[in-house]
Parts: sequence; C-alpha cells; structure tokens
Amino acid sequence: MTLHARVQVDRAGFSLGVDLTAAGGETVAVLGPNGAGKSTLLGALAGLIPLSAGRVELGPALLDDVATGRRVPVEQRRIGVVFQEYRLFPHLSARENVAFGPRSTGTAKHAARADADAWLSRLGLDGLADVRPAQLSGGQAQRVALARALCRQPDLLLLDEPLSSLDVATRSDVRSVLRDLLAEFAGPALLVTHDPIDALALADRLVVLEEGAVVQSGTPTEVARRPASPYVAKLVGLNLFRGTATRGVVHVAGGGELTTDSALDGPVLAVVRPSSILLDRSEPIGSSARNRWAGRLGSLEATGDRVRISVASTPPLLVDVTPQAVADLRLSAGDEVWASLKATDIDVYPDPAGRV
Amino acid sequence: MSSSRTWRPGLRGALAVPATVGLLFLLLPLVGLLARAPWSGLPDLLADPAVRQALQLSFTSATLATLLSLVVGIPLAWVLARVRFPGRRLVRALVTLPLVLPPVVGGVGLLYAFGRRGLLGGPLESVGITLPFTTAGVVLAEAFVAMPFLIVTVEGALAGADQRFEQAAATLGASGWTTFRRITLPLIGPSIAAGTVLCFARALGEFGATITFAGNFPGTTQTMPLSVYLALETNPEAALALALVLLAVSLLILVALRERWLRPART
Repeated sequence: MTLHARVQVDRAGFSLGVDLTAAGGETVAVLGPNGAGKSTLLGALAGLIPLSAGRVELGPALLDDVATGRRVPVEQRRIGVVFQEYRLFPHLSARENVAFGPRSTGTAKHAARADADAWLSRLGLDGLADVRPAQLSGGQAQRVALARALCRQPDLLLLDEPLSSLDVATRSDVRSVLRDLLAEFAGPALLVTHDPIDALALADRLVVLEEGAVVQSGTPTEVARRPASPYVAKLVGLNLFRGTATRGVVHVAGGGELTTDSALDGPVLAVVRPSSILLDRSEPIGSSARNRWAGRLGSLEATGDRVRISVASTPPLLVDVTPQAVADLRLSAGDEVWASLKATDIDVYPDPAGRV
Repeated sequence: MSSSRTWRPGLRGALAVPATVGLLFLLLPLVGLLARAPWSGLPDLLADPAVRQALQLSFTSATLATLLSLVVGIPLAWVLARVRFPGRRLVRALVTLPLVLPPVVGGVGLLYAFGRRGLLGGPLESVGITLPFTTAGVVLAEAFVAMPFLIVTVEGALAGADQRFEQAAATLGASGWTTFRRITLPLIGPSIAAGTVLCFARALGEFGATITFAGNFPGTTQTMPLSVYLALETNPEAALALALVLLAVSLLILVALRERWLRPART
C-alpha cells in the first residue's frame, strides 16, 4: 500500500504544490512553519479540499485525478484522520466515538462496540468508554481520537499536529503510544508537525514545506546534516549561513565572514553546530580558532542538559554550552563575549536554492 | 454592580417614568386575567364538554402542525443554511414572510391555494381531499403561521454549527445521510427543541389564519383561541378559564425557553 500524491491546491494568495510518495509502514513527517500548507496538504489527501491539479493514488485505488475529473468522496477513501483539535463528537461517549467509523460502514452495533472497547483498552483508556469528550483530559482525548481513526482500519493515516495541544508530560507519554501504533500500522502515515522532536522521534522521513512547496526531504539525519533553509536549520538546531564563498571565505548574506577549509566557490550554505562554538570573556588571543567574533549575549535558554545562547554578533550565532560553563563564566544576558570557531567545524555545501 | 451599569444618573431618572408605564401596560392585562379568574369554578368549567373539546382540538392540531413543520421545516432550514443556490436570499425572505404577514392574509392566501377554487384545491377535491373548514385545514393554517419560527431557529443553528464535526464523520466513512442523522441533528438538538417549542406555542395561539381558512365549527375547527373569543359574548367565565389555560401554557414555554430568552438565538 503506497501513497503516490501530486497535490496542487490554488487559492487566493496561496498555492500548494507537493509531490509526495510514502510506502506502506513508512511514517513521513511533514514539517513547516505556520501557513506553509501542511494542513491543506492533509485536507487535500483526505478529500476534504478539492485539488486544483494533480493525482492521488493509494495502493491500487485512484483517489483523485483532476485530468479525468475523478474524485473519490471523503467517506469512500479509507483514510484515517486525527485532527489537530481532535474533533471528537461532543454528544457521543468515547466508545460511541470510536465505534462511529465501523458502525457507519456497516458493522453491527454490537461488533462495532466490541471493536471500540478493544481499541480503548489498547490505548490505556479502560474505564473511560462511557465518558463524554468534555470530561476527558487532553491526553485522553488525543488517544480516543487515535483509536477512532484506527478503528475503521484505514489504508492511510493522517495526523495533524497530534501532540501540539498537550502539555509537556502528556506529550512524551502520547508520543511513545503513537510511536508504537505507527510501528504497527501497515499503511503509510503522514504526520504534520512543527515540533522537530516529534518529527525525529516518530518519522522515518522528513518533508519540509515552506510557502506551499517542498524545500527539503530526506531522513532526519540527512536533513539535520544538510538543512536547506534557515527554517530547517533552526528546526534541527543548527546555525545555517547563506552566502558566497571565495577562496575558503564565506561572505554571509546578512553581513560577516566565515573562514572555512572548503574549496567551494559561489553560492553556498555553511552549517555550524551550536556546540562547536566556544565562548570567552576576553578575546582568545593565541587560540587555534580562525574565526573570532565579538558580540553581546542575547537570550539564554536551558534545553535539556545544555544552555542555548544567542549571541548578537556579525553574523548572529546560536551557541550551546553546559550549565557549568554558564556558571563559571557568569554569563548573563547583555554581557560582552567573544565567540570562536575552528575553520574545520564549518560544513560548507552548495546552496540548493542557488540564491545569494 | 447593577447600579453602575449606567454613568448617566440623570437620564436614568428621566427614563424611569415611561419605563414604568411600559411595564404596567404589559403586566396589567395579566393582572386583570388573574384577578377576575373564576378560580373556584375552574374545575367545573374545564370539565365542560365544549371546553374540553376545544382544548383537545387545540392540542391535537397544534401538535400535528408542529410535526408537519418538523418534517418539512428542518430539511428546508438545512437547504437554506448549507446549499448555495441563486436566489437563496429571496427564498429565505419568502420563508420568513408569515412571521410578519397578518395571519388573516395568510388565511385568505390558503383559501386561494387549497380552497375549492384554489390552485391546488380543485385537483385535491377531485381525488376526494377537502382541506378548508376541516380539522386538516386547522393544522395547515397553524403550520403556515408557525413553521417559520422553527425554520429561523434551526437555520440559525445550522449556519453557526461547526461543520468540522461533519468532516470528521465523513473521514470515518459516514455517508451524508448518516452524518446528518447521527452528527448534525444531535448537535443542533437544543435549537431544534427551542424551535419546536416556539412553533407549538405559535400554533396553539393561532387565530386569524385558522378562522379564515378553517372556519369556526365546534369540534372540528373551533380551537381554544376561537372559543375564547366567542365565549366572551355568551359565557365570559368560560372564556376566562380557557384564557387561563393558554396563559399557563405560555408561561411554561417561557420557562422552557428562558435560556434563549436571555440570550437570543442568532438569525
């Protein structure tokens, strides 16, 4: 069961054009900033939004073909959708919500309820079958929504920001539930998110959308190693500089220079891991680092076992240091610091966009 | 809190007098009814066969008119709220016309539609169906006047209802009809209930269209409002008793709708 989709949706002031293939059992994360067209893509695949052009095939079934006017109605596509706001039917109990799919497609009431109970139990919702959605917590509602989408045994699973409205603790909880379900799900699954952790934890492959177009796709490692845009770099936590290289020196588009060991010339992207950059209170004279910048500390944010610091230098930098270093150097926002970086810690590659 | 609602104390004083006059004007008829009501003779009056007949006829015909309104009014409300077609605004205006039309005019119109020489009346009579001056005519007259209340209420609810639930139902494989029955209708249930109550209340009180189209025959077309009017001449006590029954029903409806009365439904 493979999904082949060529989706074109044109609306006033917005256009989405995406080619996408997802194999059975594969989970593809669709990442992108707000307004990139992620939800529109899911809506188009589900049949809720008509295509302006394109073709959607799911296994042997041709769901959409604008050229021939074919459009399979939403209810006849076997596509499970988990909506961002869950959309649980407020007047039905959790059990009736989950049983709604099978019952609507001809399963007898009794069997549908038994199915629903089995799914609820699998997702750890025993005892909540008779509860209405309004009485469920966010995490419980999310699980019911998952159970409801899976209970009708879809061929394709579409998840729209499935974890975004959950608090941090619930989130990691539901994330691991989701991970198990996706591992077991035989069809392709598309997961829309703007959280890189969800994407990295759950997806086999990332597709990054910006302004209605795919800017990059690949395995999480590929994308993290070679982000194609500043958005992707920020997403995966890297410094990305776009500029022009001349004999090893990258002139960054927004100002500033990087000395690298690259032999490339012309439009390039330079990537620096935030943990490669060193911070000092004074200019590190005599250091082997060939790049040095003076700058002022912006924000300090603890992310796990590290502190991510933004330095307002030219170019601006993201630096990861340990909490110990912050304490030793007594770093706080507004301080003047020196950042340094070895030329060999800069990865340079041709700019896929070719812009300068 | 309530004393600080207005920042113009002078204006409050100036408007208090006409406001009080308005309130008394609305309340005095009620006081009059209650003051002159034949409380001690009430059980006997209500047991009177003629009164009981009018009561029974009224409730039966208003119930049938409400059922008729539900069967055709909800689909009409759905079409008006959900289907885009040319002239939709005009159709919506025409549907609500009976709300502002004098009921007598409605009755005359019904005569020329379903009467003996009416557009449909002739063909109907040739197959043995006579509507004017029958109980069925009462039901039609009441439905004509009352159905717009239901339609307006339900259409407002449908227009404001969240269609994302219907989309979710479709992704679960539900056909349009299943979605309508199991999702749309239950979600607007409160509005349907409110519209039904309003519709029933209007049907129960119908006078003008009924007397014009269905006449005034005891037992077949003489509903309570008609009896009240006629009894005023011959048996004022019976008129008061019937009026009290209608008042009690109205109060019940007011209580049932108090949520909506305080927060009027969208239109």
